[in-house]
Amino acid sequence: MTLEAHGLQVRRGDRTVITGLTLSAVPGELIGVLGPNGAGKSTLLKALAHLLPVTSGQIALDARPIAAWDRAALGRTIAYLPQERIVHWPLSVRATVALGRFPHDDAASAAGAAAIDRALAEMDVAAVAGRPVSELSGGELARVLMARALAQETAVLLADEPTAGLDPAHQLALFDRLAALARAGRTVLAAMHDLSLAARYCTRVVLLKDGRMLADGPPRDVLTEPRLAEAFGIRARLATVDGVTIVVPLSNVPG
Amino acid sequence: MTRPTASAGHPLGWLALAAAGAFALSLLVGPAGIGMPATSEAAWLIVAEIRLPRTLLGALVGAALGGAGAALQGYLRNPLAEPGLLGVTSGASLGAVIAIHSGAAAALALALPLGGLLGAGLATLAALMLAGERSATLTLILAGVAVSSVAAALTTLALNLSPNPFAAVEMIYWMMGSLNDRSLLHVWIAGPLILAGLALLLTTGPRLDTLALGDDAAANLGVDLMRLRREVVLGTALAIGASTSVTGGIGFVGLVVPHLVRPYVGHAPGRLLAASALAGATLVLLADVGLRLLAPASDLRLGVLTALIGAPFFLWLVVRSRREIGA
Repeated sequence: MTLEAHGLQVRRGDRTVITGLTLSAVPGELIGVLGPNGAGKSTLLKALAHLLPVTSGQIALDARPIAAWDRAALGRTIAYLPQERIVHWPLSVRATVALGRFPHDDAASAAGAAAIDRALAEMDVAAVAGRPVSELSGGELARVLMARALAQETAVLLADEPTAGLDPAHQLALFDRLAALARAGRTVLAAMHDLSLAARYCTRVVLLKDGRMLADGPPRDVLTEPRLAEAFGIRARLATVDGVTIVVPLSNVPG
Repeated sequence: MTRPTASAGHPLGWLALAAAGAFALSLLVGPAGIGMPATSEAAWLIVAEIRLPRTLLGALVGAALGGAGAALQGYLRNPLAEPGLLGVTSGASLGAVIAIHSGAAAALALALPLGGLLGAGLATLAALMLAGERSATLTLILAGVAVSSVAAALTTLALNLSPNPFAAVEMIYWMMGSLNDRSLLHVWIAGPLILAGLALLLTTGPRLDTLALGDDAAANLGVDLMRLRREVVLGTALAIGASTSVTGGIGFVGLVVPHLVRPYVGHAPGRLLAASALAGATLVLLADVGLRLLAPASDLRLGVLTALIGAPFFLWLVVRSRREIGA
């Protein structure tokens, strides 16, 4: 399903966090949202998930204004993974992932249980399904919360730093999964900081700075040394190892 | 395939059985003797006119306290929340105290519960308006604390300016909370409101569960957060406002009961609601039976007894959370 923002402006308090942003995400795309801290990545994802009031501009999902969508239908269409990894009660891992079925209202049915089992397996947390989330490590909790979003089985997935806290094996497994979802026709956007993962997995990269779009295109066009210097103020080198593009930040640009 | 929901029915069944047992016990126990000899007309009168209203009110008020406590702890995601946190209890107390102070309660017995209901309603409205629609839950707590402080201050003023010592004693005794000398009329006043409030709170259960993931994730799952707040606050106001208006303040039940129930039904707020309501009814009924058995002659108040039991439990909660946070 296509998710579009046109002339988006978002204010939080007195600060304009997103300015004049236009973006169209279509099925099959895995879009990496990159940019320095405070660039507006999280705000963009929240606005696209219809969780923040938009100051001006439009957001449309499947060519319909997002505000016109029914809440439950939206919950069955867009899954949003917040950056904060919190579960306020020591629920079991399975009960936490089962919350992803809330908009479908079928956690107790066979179809819902199957979706929960798939998500648990995909995020490699099936073995801890019976444990309370309060006893998990940070990385395990992050995978459980990602599993909740996957269990929602939506056409659009918006994930805010999904690999934060994950070990390298699970980072690769997670992006393998996101890439597979995109290939299967889902629309996936992930705010992220790992430039090498973005270069390797994303079909498209959106580079933000100070709430504006600096660049939008395939990773090879966007993740260039001058652009990275402009966006992050770093000197970086791109290299190819075993046919995989890696981006290595070398130093901060002085001044 | 084992699923945690598979065993959900069992603790609820046991709790319902316990509540039914406590209900029966409360009908059968009292200073006039144990048992209900069907032949004696006097015994029948005692059960129907004295014990039945008292038992019905105990069950309703206990269910209101337990259910609203679980709902507020779930909504605020804070295990130390209690039903009076949003100002309802203090508002009802102020309304009732004003009814006594003004002499309205002496002229018309109904003025006392009606004054309590009015106070509870106004306090809830004030807290909601003070917090604003889109505010964080912390703001709602602060608004409730502010409203409670104002109501408590005005209550002390009413006590201070009480027309005579008897009125002051009446106010103090009323605030302690009791099921003594309540009639079926009190049940008719409070019962429907308590049941309506509890029914509303029970419908919020699945949505309260999603709040465990935080506001943004809950909203993403399709929960209307503003509507949920209105329903939790309104349900609590109805159940607790009506309870306090007829029985006065019965402390610690709403705070403690969800903690007692969690080891058996789990931490999901939705499943805690019905379980806490049943456990609250059981606890208040048993406390009231204990009161009648242990100290039939003394004027020990139910609210005093629940506070005496509840306060040490609260201390234990603090010690336990200190240990958990320290670890």
